[in-house]
Amino acid sequence: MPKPIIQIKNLCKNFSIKQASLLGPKQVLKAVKNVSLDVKKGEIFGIIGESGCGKSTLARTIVGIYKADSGTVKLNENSIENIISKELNRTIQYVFQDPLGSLNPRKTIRQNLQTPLHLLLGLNSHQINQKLTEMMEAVGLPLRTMYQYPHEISGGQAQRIGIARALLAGSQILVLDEPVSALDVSVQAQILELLINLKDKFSLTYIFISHDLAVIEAFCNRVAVMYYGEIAEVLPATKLYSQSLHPYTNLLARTAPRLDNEIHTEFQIELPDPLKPPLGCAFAPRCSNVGERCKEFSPELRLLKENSYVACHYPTKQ
Amino acid sequence: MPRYIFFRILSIIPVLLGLTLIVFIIMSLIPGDPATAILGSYATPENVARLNQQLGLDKPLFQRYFIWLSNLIQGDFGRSMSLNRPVIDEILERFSATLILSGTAFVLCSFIGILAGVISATRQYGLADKLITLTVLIGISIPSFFLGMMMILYFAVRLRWFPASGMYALYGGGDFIDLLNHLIMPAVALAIVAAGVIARLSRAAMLEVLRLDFIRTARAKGVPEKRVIIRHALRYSMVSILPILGLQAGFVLSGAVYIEIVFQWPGVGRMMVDAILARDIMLVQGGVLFVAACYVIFNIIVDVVQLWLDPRIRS
Amino acid sequence: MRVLYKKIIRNRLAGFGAALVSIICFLSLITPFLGLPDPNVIDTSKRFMMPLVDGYIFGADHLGRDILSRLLWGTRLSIFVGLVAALIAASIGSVIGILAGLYGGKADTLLMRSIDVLMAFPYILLALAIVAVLGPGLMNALIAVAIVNIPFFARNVRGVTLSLVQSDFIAAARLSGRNTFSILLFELLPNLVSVIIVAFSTTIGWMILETAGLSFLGLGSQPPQSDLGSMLGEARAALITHPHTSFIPGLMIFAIVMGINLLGDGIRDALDPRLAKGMLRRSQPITYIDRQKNISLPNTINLISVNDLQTEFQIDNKKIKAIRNVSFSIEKGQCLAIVGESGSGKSVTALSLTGLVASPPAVISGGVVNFQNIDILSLNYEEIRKIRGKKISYIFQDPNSSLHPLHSIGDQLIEVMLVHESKFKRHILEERAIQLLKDVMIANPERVMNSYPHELSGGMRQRIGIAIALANDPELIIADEPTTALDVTVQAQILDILNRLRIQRGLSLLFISHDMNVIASISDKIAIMYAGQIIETGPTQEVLDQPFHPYTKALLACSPQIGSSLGLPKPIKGMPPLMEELSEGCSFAPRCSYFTKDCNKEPIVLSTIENRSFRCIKKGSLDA
Repeated sequence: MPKPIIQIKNLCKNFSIKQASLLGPKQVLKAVKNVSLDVKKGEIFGIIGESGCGKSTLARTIVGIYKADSGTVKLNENSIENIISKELNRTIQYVFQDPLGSLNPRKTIRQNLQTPLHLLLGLNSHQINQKLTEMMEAVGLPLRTMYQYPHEISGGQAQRIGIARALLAGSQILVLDEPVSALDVSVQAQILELLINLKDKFSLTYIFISHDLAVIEAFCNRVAVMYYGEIAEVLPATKLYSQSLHPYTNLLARTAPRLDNEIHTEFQIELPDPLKPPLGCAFAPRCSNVGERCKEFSPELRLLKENSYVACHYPTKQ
Repeated sequence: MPRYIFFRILSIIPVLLGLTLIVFIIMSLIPGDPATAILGSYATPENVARLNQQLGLDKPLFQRYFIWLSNLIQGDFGRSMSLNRPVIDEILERFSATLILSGTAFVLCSFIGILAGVISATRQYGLADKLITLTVLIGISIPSFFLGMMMILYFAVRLRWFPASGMYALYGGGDFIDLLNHLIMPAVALAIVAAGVIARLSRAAMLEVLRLDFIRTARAKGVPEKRVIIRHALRYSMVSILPILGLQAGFVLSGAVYIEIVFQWPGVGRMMVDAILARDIMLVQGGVLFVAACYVIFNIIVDVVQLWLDPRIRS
Repeated sequence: MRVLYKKIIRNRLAGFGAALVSIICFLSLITPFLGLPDPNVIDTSKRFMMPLVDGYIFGADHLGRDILSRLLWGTRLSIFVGLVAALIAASIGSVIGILAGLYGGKADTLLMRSIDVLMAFPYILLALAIVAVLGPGLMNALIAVAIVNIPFFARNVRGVTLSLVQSDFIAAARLSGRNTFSILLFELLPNLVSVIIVAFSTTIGWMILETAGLSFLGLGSQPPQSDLGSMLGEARAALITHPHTSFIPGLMIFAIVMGINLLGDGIRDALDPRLAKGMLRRSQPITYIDRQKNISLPNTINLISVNDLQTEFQIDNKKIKAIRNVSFSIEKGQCLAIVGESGSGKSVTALSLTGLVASPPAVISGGVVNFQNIDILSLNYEEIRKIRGKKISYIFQDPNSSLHPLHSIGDQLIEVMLVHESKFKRHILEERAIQLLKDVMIANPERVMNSYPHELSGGMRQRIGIAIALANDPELIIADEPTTALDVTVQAQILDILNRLRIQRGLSLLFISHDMNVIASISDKIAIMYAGQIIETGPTQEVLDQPFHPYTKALLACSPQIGSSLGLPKPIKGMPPLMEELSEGCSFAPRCSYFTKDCNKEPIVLSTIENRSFRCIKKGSLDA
């Protein structure tokens, strides 16, 4: 069995909230709580959850945009704290949710794209030209796009540029943060297809973040479901719809719209206040399977079935 | 909400301390020896040393600050050398005149400015908008002291509508009508610049707000347009107009210095210019501190009104 | 740069300002070479000489000095001093602002607190204090004015820096190997330059005014040196007897400052991207309607039937068609869903029905909206207003921005009832509002009545939106992507509430969405839009089972569906067309896998088979 390319152990990331007044109590938002994950080489690992569940914070901590408060992230067995930042950037890259926002509006696409080649790989201008030409072809854009400014291109094109920028650093791992959420479905499918082709061509590993169950199911190998900063369940993507063990995953699958399903309802949907975490399981107030222990003890992530990890005292029986 | 107000009032203490510190540092930078300045260049060294001790000037700077500060807190702003009376007495006497002038100007400029801004925005690119824009442009470009002089020339000298200077008539005046008569020209001259700035920013704020989603919601609800403009758009714009009013109060207080000179209004501004020219440092220092402190307190009031306007900062 | 220049020149006022500033600057540059008399030579025999006498073009002052010469030399000095003060304030202020914004945290707090203390002084007090210390003099006045204006630059630049630093492209630059210094130099500065230029050009006039003011008070330039302010100050004593000595320098200050202000506004407007996009145009209460005369109104048994509706955007004298010949109808109690990708015209369609498309730039250029046998588009504003929120109500996409943030929930609910029936007492309306909140499953309605939108979750806010739409028992609700901004679990709940209340009350619903999966469960009928046209319409289930238009088919194939085990969605090649470059024939032709060259020949007419219609020459045979 191959060694995992990414190992995340007990990762925590907090944000301190600006105090209302000088003398007010200091408030801490625990965005990511005690997350542990392994990602294998060549895998497409999905992370799914609703807004505010901490999936983006987790992703940004993995690539080093945020610094973890505790816990470790290891890439190829090296902790990212020990990797110098340029080496880290050559190993793992990030694709932003808002494709236009990640490009400097005052620079041409070419100027935006050549930075990693110049600074991370130290190429000369001839090599840069060659690399850029190859990459534009790989992401399916005409060469003239390079001489346009970000405001002159469409969302789909901008996302191709975002992916190109990440790949130009030469990294083997891409963290894709909702790369298709801002796009129309017809363009979304184009980008997903492109990502599959690029993965085969450059033998990449993906961490793919999304709130869309259908996209995750179709695109990923394994999925981690996040709720309230924690991992609720890790399972193969094929089990997402009908064989999940955590009541929250069940709920997501039930409520996801399908062409043939009836309108479904669940009424207790208010999420707990992120600044005042409840004592036990965060999902307990909404859970249909709730028991005594849920209100006092927070469940740990454990291996329940083959390839399925779940953090629940009373998982759904399959 | 009371809790917020309490903390907000508490938070002026460091600002006021910072204020006194800056004034103290600036004033202690003054070249030359105050004692020599007071006694004149023929003073004997013994006399200078004695006065220095009297004034506490022989102590280290740090200690002097605290002595000075504790005096301030007890209302002792020192003694004016040129007028030979306590600074605080002179300031209190003159401040009411400044307050009447700038208060009137402030009310005028806020009212006219916001009204002009709203009309201008709702009739964007129409005749009213163009006229207002032009007036505003002239208003913010003309020096208030020049405007004041021209007003004297036209309304006082030529038309003889208003008296050219002073706060009350020398003989037989002193009542409210007399004050009003003297007040109108300087107050208008003072208000015009600030009204221009307020009108301009109100117009911009209104135009921005009129594009927001909740305005469309209000229209979709069938709210009559007049109510959309006032209850929805202006109400929301006030959140960004109000801090501008706070800033403009500072500009009105500043402009009052020029206007007081031009119209010979017996206020603090004129007092300070005279004090600077007479090198009466104690008086300048007292005037700066007093007016600045009033301005800080005024801004607290603005903040509290803001709180009342905007429920989002309440929680 | 050239674009910027053109934009300024095209703006008439700014052009005038630029001309004024150029002339004055040119005059003050060539002053030493004009052979004017020495500005400081005193000739008491010429005291208060009137203009145009004895070769004194502007006359002479109280000491018999030539005013023209003094004016030009004074102008030179005033502009120079104002410019230098502005440069000093701009550079120091910008550096402070950039450092505070870039490093944040403690550095930011320290720098900005100091700036706050500076701002606690009304500006002239600080200037007076500085002059008091340094002594009167032009140089000292310059320093005072510069210091007083530092906070303005520092705050402006800090604000922009802060938002730039948090933006994604800075994070992207960091990931591309840039360090903080190189980010500052190569990523931040190019974006800050325009902010600094705007701040500079809008304040320099003000600074000239302030230095002139200090000189006027006798605290700036000292005799014999004199700038415009001190000229005016000296002339004041003779204001009544010899007004020309005051009038000339005063007018000059006014001209300089106005010229600079006009130019500065021009620069600001030219650099403001929102202005270019027409985003700061005031939107009218109702969309402009500019239709052909003599529109016939066929009777209809439907609640609403829309015929040939056309709305276009007029931007820079160009007409861009947003929706083209849109026709549909909704029966009482029926739900029609309009589906399309962004830019397909679905929202414009929804908003056009009661004239809510922002105008300018929108113009409704044709068609009929027949609602209960009245053509809405022929009504005046007051009549349309009485329909909005009463008979036809809306639910909007983003519950965060579509509720008024400063009005309480109760007020917003009561308002929609009040503006349509003012005779009711407040407590009756309050009871009705509470009942409405109960209807949309709000747990404790009494408390929510007094809360504000920011205190509620997105799902709750959207339920308030539904309650507002239901308040006056409308005939038709138009829901424009009501669940797009919400999480799936919340979306399911909103759909459920909306659907249940609609059926209970027998309302008609027009549901706009981009998501086939969402509309499938809620709608009876479906209309698919592409490039501003409805390209297919019919009963929902039939269309989903067997689409007749290639775009409908492709859209279904590219929408992923959970549990379908279909693998990756099938992309549609290419991009939707730009609305300003539409061709004669089928708009979908370039992306269509059934394309034949007949597709581009002529506009595709609507074909009808039983209760379905579509715009395709293949007539629905898509199995090949």
